[in-house]
Formats: sequence, structure tokens, C-alpha cells
Amino acid sequence: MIALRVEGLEKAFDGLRVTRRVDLAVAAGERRLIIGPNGAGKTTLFNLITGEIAPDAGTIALFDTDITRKPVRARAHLGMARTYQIITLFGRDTLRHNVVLALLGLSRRRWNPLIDLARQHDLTEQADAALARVGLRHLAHRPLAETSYGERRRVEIAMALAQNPRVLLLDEPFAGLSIDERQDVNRLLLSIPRDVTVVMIEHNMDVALAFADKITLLHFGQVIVEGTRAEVVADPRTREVYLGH
Amino acid sequence: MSLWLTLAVNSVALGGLLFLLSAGFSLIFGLMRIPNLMHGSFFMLGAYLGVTFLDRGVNFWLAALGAGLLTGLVGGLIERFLLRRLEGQVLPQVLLTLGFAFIIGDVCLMVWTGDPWQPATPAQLQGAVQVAGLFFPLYRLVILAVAVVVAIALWVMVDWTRLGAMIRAGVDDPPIARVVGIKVSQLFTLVFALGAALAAFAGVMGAPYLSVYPGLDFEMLPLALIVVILGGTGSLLGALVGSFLIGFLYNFGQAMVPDLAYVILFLPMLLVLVLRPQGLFGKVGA
Amino acid sequence: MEVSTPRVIAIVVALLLLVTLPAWVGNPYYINVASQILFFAVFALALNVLVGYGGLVSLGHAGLFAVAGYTAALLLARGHGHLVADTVALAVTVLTAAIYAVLSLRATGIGFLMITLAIGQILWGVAYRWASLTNGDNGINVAARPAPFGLSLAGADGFYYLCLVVFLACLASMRMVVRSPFGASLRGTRDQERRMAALGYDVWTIRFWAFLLSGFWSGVAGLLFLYYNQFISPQIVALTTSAEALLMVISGGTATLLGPVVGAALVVIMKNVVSAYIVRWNMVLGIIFILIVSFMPEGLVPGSARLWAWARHRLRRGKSGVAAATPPAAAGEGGP
Repeated sequence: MIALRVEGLEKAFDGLRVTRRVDLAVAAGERRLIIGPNGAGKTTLFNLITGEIAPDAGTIALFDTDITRKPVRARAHLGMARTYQIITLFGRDTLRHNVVLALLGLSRRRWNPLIDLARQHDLTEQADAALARVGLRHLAHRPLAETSYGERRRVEIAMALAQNPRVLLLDEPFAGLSIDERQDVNRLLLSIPRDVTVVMIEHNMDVALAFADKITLLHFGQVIVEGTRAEVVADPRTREVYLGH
Repeated sequence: MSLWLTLAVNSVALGGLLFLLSAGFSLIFGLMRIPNLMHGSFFMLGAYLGVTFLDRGVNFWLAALGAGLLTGLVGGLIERFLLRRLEGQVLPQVLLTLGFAFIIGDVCLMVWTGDPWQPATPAQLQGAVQVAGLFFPLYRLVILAVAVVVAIALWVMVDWTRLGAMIRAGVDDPPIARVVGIKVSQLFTLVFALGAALAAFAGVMGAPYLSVYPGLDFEMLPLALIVVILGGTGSLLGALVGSFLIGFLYNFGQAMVPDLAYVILFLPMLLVLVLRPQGLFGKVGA
Repeated sequence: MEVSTPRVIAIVVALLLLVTLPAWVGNPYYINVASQILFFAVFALALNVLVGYGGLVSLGHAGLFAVAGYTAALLLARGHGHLVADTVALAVTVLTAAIYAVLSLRATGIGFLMITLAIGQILWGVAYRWASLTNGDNGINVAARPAPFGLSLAGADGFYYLCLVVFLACLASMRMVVRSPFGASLRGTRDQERRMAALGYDVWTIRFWAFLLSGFWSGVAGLLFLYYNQFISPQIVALTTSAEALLMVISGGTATLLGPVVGAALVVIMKNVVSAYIVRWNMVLGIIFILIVSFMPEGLVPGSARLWAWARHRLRRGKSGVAAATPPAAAGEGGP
């Protein structure tokens, strides 16, 4: 079963092709790592997959449902969740409220103007459980603006996990973290249940290699190498991209 | 001269005036992203100043230039000392420019009273010229000519000169522009003052046939807005086409459905918003 | 969330004061000022749905306010009853709000503001220039106020109580919406539009409903305005009205329930006082705008608190205070 299938994806900005005929097939439950140097088009690929930008050509399918023309929000309802490289959270609100918003987004209750959100105890409990998973339950009442960078990264992941996604897209979850924090996040990622398909972008080759079942190397918007960890590391083209010029 | 031809000539003249008004607005709102709600006030202030100069016997062109310079100075000072501190903050910018619009309007009312002023068309620009057997009022043609000259000058400035390149760089990426040595804030002050001066100049040019009266400011502001929305923000060509479109619509509307002439003006804007939100000449995704 | 005891006391005292106001104020002139404050507070609360909670600054709300008034006035002038006139007026206002929304929600920030401004000016043009429909500059008179359930609203007292009931209903409904999941969704679209879409929210539709809510209460306020004056003219559709409403929202502090109410009281009182002594209301309005931007960009309620804290800090530290030489300008609370 293919969870995420991308075929012939193309995107150009002002004539500059940032995504060139990208094909990707991620099996259900797989952990896929997408690596590549700066400017390889990794985040653009994510934005295409989540629908934040529209492709010039190609198709995207989620569990064999064509989602190429579906808006961002519809993809979320079909089971896609993502984290952002640049943290975009609700700074004035508490951690709990941040996660509640993630839960509410998939609930029909989000339209309800007549009930008190603070009294929706099931949402609060689920939010606290999600925070507990990332080890932040004790900070549930703290405004996000008063938390550290590493904690915010974990809130990002808690929000994505709270959505119970079938496919989870992680955009550089380790960026800017200390070594200790990286280990925390690494442990967190390893604890994600196997029925969730995970696609992760990393700039750095060394990080989270152990985590991946398969690795895709992107360079100038093109898939250069794809395979298991050993295959990709051994491939001369990988060394060319990362070492030679 | 037939009614239709008269209407057409008036339309072209109004279009020219609107271009003078909205070219500056297009730069300020479209390029610099400043919601300048005093743009109509610049038009009105300029018109009043020009009328006063004319009253003192100043030459028409000198009066128009003088009003433009003075108003440009006012605009430049407001930008330099107040607006600049609010860079990127839309709501405070709106409040500030709206506040000044109210103040300018009230000062004008105090100084020039509530009665309309309508200066005579300057003597050397009265009368008509004969083209292909038809007579055209000279003054209308002069407005058109001035608009065309200004349009070309602005186009050359923005697209072909170093100054224009610096403006575009300053708008696209202010931090980078600063790094490469462009004095972005001085540049913005200059553009703002230029826009104010153009609006004031347009006010003087328009005074002999629109007359000047309280409330003219908030009548002109939406017109500049329509033109820019129609043409696409930041596009001078769009402002030019939009101006003439509105000029025709206003005059023909006035003649055919006087009750609704003002409302009809907004219809193309609404259509554009629904069908092509980036404007007729705006870039997609800009 | 539990309400603290001091808060309950404050609310009870405020309610008592409001209910007994005609008795302790006495002078009908001042009772009328109180009525004005109440219906302008409704208008400001309506605008605050968009400005404060949606982050969408509208400069065209005078149009919505006036559409309700004009529709009712026209229907009443044609001999329809109050119930029909008011119901149709509110329906037309909500419909107008829907048109506003469809056109203006193509943009956010400065674009949204400019489009609402332009639509507001169209409606001004209709009221002022389409004389065969709206009677142009002469406006339309309304013969009498309604008398629901046989209660007379002709006097200052009666009309004040009508305004008070409507105001309290508006405040209660706003409180409910703000605390609801929908309110949280709306605030979310204000703070992180992109993220909200990725979380499964339909940003456009959320804003659309917020616009309708705002339009409805603007219409209610417009009806009260019509009955208060028993007259409506193009003057109320002018940009000044939209600007005043914005001033009410901002001066009090956006995204709070009390802010717009305080703002409405301030603006109405100031306008009455200023108009009594000098005619230059527009000048005063302009100066206030500039002062607010310069000194209290976050609004009077939070702004006063900040200045007060700063002043106390200075007093305590004596004249040597180095650190607090200037009041800290509010951190970029500019809206998108």
C-alpha cells in the first residue's frame, strides 16, 4: 500500500525550476528521509504536497486518492499533518490552547459559536495527553511566548501528532536544537506508532539517518539517489553532492 | 461639436487628471505598501494653495508647481518624522494618515471657508484648437498632454534609471537594499513627497473645471483607489489605463444615468476584484 | 472558567448603575447621551469582531450601519410597520455584509481595508447622489418610534431602556462567541492564517461568518441610530462614521469585550463636549488618532495601564531613574 505517491511533479518560480519531475512513492508505515543541500527544493516539495503552493504539472495521491487539486485544509482532513521549519505557533496562547486548536481543526465543533471552548473537556484532555507524549504536560498552562525554542519544536510535533495523521511531514525537526534536545526529539520520533507514515526533511546527512527506512537525495529540485541508508551513503553521486563541487 | 465628442474629450481630460492623482498613489500604496489615506487631501490642499496663488496673480504653471512643491514638502515631512516610525504596521499607518486627512480637511475649511472656489482657466490656455475640422477646448488637451509627459517621465524613472532600480530594490528586500548601500528610508521619503506633489499638481490642474470645495479630498481618495485596484497595485501602465477607463465611465455615466454615475464608477473595480483580483496589469501572486 | 468574586461584584454594580441611570441622571439630555453611547457601543462591538478578533481592519462599516437605517426608513416612509421594516432592514444588512465579505475577503491587511473603504464610498454615493431613491442630501424622516408591547419609546427614558436591553444582548452574545470554538478559530486565523489552513480550518469561511455577525450587529446599531434621531441622511454614511467606529475600537483596545464599550463612551462624550464648545470635531478626531498612534498604539485601556505602571515605577525609583527614561513604546502590535 502506497501512502503518499508523487508523480512527475514540476514547479518553477519565475522560470527557475525548483522541482523537476519528482517521483516519490512512500509505503504505508515507512519512515522516509529526504535530504539535500540548501536550496535543493525540499521545503518547496513539502509545500506542494500539503497544497500551500500549486504544482505546474504532476499529481499527488494520498492512499490512492488524488489530492492534487485539493485545498490545504482538505488534505488535513484526509489525514495529512505537517510541522514547519520556521515555527508558526500561536504565541499569545497557552501550550494547551495551541494543541486544542490542532484538535479542533478536525472536529465539526470548530464552527460552533454557542458553546464554551474551555468546557470541552475531551479536547483539553486529549491536548494534555499529546503534550504528555512530548514531555510538556507540566507546561500546559504556560503561554507559548514564554517557552524555549526546543520546547516549541516539541509543541509543533505534539500538534501534528494530536491530529492523528496517517501521513506526517516533518520539516527539519532538529533544526537549531542542542545535542540534548536532539536526543529528546529523536526519542519522540522513534515513539511514533508504525501505522503513521513519516516523511522527514533534513538538511544534515548525519542526523536521524538511523531513523529512516529509505532515503531520497534531492539536488537542484531533482531526485538524484534513492534507496536504503547503505545504498545512498555508498552512492558516488551522494558524495559528489555533499563533498565535491 | 457633438455631445459625444464633448464627452469623450472631457473623459480624456479627467483621465489625465486621475492619472496624475493616482500615479503617486500607485507608487505609495502599490510599491511601498503604505495605506496613504491622505492622498485625496494632498489633491485638495494643492488645489486650494494653487487657487490662492492664482488669486495673487501668480502665473498658472508657477502656481501649480508651487502648490506641488509645498504639498510635497508637507507629505515628505509627515513621512520622514511620523510614518517612517510605523514601518510595516498597517493599522497605525491607517490611523495616522486618516488623522492627518481629517486635520488637513478641517484646516482647509478654516482657511478657505466652505464655499467652492473655481479659478478661471488661465488666459493663455483658453479657447479651442481646430483639429481635422473639429474644435477641441485647449485646456482639456493641455491636461492630457501634461499627464502623458508625467507618465513617460515616471515610466523612465522607475524602469530605466538608477533611482528606479533602487526604489524597486528597496521595496523588494529592504534589508538587502540597505546592505548594498541604498538609503531606503530617504528613498521612500522622496517617493512619498513626489506622490504628494503630483497629487497637489493634479489638484491645481483640475481646479478650473472641477472647482475646489470641502469634501473633495474624500471624493478623490476612492477614485485613486479604484484606479489602482483596477490597474493592479504598483503598475504605472495599469494606473494609466485605469484612469482613462474611469474618466470615460464618469463622464458618460454622468450624461446618461446622473443618479448612478458615482456608483457606476465602482462597477469595473468590483468586476476586477471578482474576476482578476491582482488587477488588469498586476502580476499574479505579487 | 470560574468568575472571581470581585468581578461578580463589579458586574452587579455596573448593571445596577446602568439600570437606575435615568433616575440618578435625571436630565433627558444626558440620558440621551447615554443612549448614544449604548448604540455606538453595539456598533463598536460589531466592528471589533473583525478588527480585534479577525485582524481585519474595515473602513467601510458606516455603509452597513447606514444600510439598515436607510432600508428601515424607506420602508417606514412607504407605510410598512416597524416589525416588517426592521426585519427586512436587518436581512438586507446581512446580505450587504455578505457582498462586502465576498469582495473584500479576497485580500487581507491593507488590501482588505482599501476594498471595504471603496465599498463604503459606493454606499455613500448611493445615499448622496441617487436622490430619487434616498432623497439625497435632504435625508429621510421617520414619523415615530415603535411601541413594542405597548411600551412607549418616545421619551428619553423609554428609549434608553431599549438601548440598554439591546446592548446587553449584544455584549452577552459577543462574550459567548468569543469564548466559543468559533471564536478561537477566528482568532487563530488572525494570528496564523497559514497554520490554520494546515490544521484543517477553512479560513475564508470563518472570516465570512465573522463578517455576517459583524454586519448583523452593525445593522442593529444602525436601526437604533435611526430611531434615536428619527432621521437619516448621507452624512452618516461618510468615511467619518467608519473612522469614528474604528477609533472607538482602537482607543478602547482591540480584542477585548470592554475596550470597544469604553471607546464608544469616550468618543461619544468627547464629540458631545467638543461640539458644544467648538465646531472642529474633525480636527479633534484627527489629533486624537495621531496621539494614539504616537503614545498608545495598543489602545487606551492597556495603554493607560502601561503608562500608569511606568509612572509608578518612576515615582518609586525617584529622580535617579535611568532605565525608565521613556515609556516603552508598545511592542509591534500593528495587526497584519
